[in-house]
Amino acid sequence: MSLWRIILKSLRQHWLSTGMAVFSIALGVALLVSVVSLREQAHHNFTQVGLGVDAVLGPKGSPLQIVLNAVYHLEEMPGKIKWTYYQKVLKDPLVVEGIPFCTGHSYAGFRVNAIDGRFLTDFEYMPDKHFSFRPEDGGQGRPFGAGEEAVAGWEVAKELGLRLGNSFNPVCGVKAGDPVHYKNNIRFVGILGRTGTPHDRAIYIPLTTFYTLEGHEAVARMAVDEEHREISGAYLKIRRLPGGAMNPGIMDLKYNVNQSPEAQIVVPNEVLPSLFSIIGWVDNTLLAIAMLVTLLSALFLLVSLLSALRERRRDLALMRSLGATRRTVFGLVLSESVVMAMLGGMLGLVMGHTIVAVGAYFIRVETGLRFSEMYLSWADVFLFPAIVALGLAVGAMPAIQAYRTGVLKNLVPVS
Amino acid sequence: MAIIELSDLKVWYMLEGEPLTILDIPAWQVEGGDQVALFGPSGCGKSTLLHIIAGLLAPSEGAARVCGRELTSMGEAERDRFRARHIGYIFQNFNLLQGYTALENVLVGMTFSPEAPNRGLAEALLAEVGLAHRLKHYPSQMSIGEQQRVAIARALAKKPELILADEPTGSLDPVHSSGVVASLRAACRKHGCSLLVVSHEKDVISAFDRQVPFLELNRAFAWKGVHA
Repeated sequence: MSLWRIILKSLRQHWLSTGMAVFSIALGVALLVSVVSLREQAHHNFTQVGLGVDAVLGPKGSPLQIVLNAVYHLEEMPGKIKWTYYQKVLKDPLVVEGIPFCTGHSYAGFRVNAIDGRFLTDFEYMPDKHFSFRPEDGGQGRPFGAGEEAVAGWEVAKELGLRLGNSFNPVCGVKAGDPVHYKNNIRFVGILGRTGTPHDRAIYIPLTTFYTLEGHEAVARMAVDEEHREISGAYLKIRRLPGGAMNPGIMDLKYNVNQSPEAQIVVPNEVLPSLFSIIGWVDNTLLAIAMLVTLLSALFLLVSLLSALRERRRDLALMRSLGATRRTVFGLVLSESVVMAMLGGMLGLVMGHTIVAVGAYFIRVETGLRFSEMYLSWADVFLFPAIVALGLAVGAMPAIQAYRTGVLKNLVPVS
Repeated sequence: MAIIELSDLKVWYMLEGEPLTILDIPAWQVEGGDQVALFGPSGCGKSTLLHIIAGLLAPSEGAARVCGRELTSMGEAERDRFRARHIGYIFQNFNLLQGYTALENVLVGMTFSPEAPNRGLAEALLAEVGLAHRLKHYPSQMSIGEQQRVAIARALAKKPELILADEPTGSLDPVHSSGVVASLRAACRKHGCSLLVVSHEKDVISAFDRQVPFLELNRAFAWKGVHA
């Protein structure tokens, strides 16, 4: 019988305490893996994925609010900017392209954005990735033309069961109870292929259509009168340095625009970290709870090992009498601890990624953010070395006690 | 050739600042292949002597040469390895691992010896002591007599040179007792092991050709005035 089989035998003998200790470690690890994974993915989504937007030209107000509205289709724009000012910014040699939009409308809980048609053809929602209407990408139809036509994001179409030719009446606002443009039956002519970005969760209509919606009589002339036209903002593509790095000249552009009372330039990758400073305490509290649960599970493992050891002193003494050295029994107990920790780690990994998979699904559905169940966080990378270290650290005390187990004291034959 | 050679062997403990000698054997030896019964009353130090011969306990003084190796010059780990290689030990009670089957108990007996565990040999040894039908039974499913037979098979499993049995029939009735002793003696003869049995039961002792009264061997009890 190998030492390995003796270890497994011992774990089976104390299956209840073994099972509970393994499960408690699994819980701690699952919590840690899921919290860290979702946390890292959230950071990644909000700070590293530029979503094809180098900068947003928006009205004066909270930069975070502008990014959340323009890029993530959340919140509301704090105001409007003049078309003429947008044109002026476009003339800056650093600006390669601009895509203007008007936000503030919705349908069935999804945002309806009026936007320049180039958004659907030229815009890169990720580096080198354009929107697709191809069926193999999950898309259908074509980009909107002029008039009352719309294109739905992949998630919108899926959730609302939209088909080409369906029509809708946009709501003038984003809150429940806001007025509906009943006279405008806007027809879906396209459904975007899945992008895995917040753009999947919005409906897009032509910018000019926005100005002529029922009830927009006061702004209707903006459709033709550029002098008086206003927009919510514009996505700006900035000329990159050779190699793809952001041009430092954007700082000057930003400074110049931000000095004016007309508008501001917001760089999403600069603004979004502030979101995490706002919600950082929630983030850190969750991580602390996960670590605390892991620590408690380590204590549970220790108690379980010590309790099993009390029952096993006679067995260990008997093994010593059969020729097992102190080092051998030390190794047996330590190995048991490591095996239990690793079993808990593996189970926790599966449970953690199941939680991440469920969480990622709902986050994708609710926000359109790119969350993956297969994402590997630092918790995954360091899991096994950490688990082995945990097993060794927790097992050290019972192993030392096993090492000190006296044969004759625990196995006194009657004579 | 002697398998056990003791000279000026002493074991004492400090009790309230004074040494209390419990074992004092000037000289004694057992020849290889011998089967010896050592008898005496409870508490006279028989088990302590067995512990020293098995390397479970280091003597306070003197020399103990067992299987050609001087135990007093060995460290604890070395004595453990010596026991794993050369000694088979049978206790009166508590001698089987309760969570292991009869076969597994015998296999565990081989685990710590230099030879690789041999399932075929373990099964053959259990068959030899009449337990071929009990391989997968746990100690709690066997009688005390059967448990002792498993212990005999386990002691033999690592092919030791010497088997030490400490009151091997202490928990058995006379009928089973003689059966276990007969099994033990026959197995040792077959496998060429020397056998040293410690007992206070006359039936057990009378089965052996060489019977040694422990009180004549251990001078410590003469000094302390302890008698049978």
